[in-house]
Amino acid sequence: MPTDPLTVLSLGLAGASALLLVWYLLWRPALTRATKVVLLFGIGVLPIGTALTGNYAGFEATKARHFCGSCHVMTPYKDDSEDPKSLSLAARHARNALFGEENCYACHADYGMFGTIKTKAGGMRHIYEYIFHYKDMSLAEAREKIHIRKPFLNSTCMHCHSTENPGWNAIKEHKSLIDRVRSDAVSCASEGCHGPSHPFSKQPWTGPR
Amino acid sequence: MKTLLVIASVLTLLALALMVWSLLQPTPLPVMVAMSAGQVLGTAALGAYIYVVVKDLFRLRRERAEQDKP
Repeated sequence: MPTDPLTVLSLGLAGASALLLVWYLLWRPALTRATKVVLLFGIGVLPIGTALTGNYAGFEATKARHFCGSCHVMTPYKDDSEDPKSLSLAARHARNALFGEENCYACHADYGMFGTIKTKAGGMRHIYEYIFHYKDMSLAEAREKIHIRKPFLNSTCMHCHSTENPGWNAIKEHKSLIDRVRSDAVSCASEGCHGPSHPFSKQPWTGPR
Repeated sequence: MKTLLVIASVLTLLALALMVWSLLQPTPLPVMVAMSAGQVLGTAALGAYIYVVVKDLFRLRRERAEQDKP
């Protein structure tokens, strides 16, 4: 049962609209001013309210890790994030309250003015690819074939780790690489630095085939 | 006119069903279907309603003008 206030509001608006429409369909009253007003609410105001609140709730839902993990090929990534013993970069960030249940989105989202739109448009592509190419693929095969589409940008890390903090600069590797880190010549998530973010995906497959 | 309103009502109920499905099961397919097909059905229904109401207003205005004729 949904407890999120926006979802509950959206369901309430949808229910109210459905009641008005069912009333109209059952009684089929004459097209008087009162009928027009009822239908204005049943077909216009309440469904628009449902769409606005529902879309927002939908956008929020797409940020959740269980949403990403609902495509089976993402299951190992989701499981690793949720493993309290995992030391992967992804799992450690998932244990941070600032990322929490939205850790996939926090690291894979595009930031900037149109970041959310770009991220959602990219997400649509993921769903297309999943439905038409990966839906029936085994996890072992998917892990071989699925790769991040573009190199992971350090600007995503720098959203929180600004590279301006004295503590960050006190680390000699950071200090010596600062220009290359800022220009993406060296990736924060590369092997030997802090990555790979999902190390299990780089090891030989040991799960079921 | 009435048939169009019945169609609009049914379309709205379908759109609402898709939106409710995405709210109760927020996984990729329901969310995508609600945000695409759901919106199209809802918009089409609203368009049909507006068409019927505007047409009815013109009819009423025409009838009033005919009644006012000497």
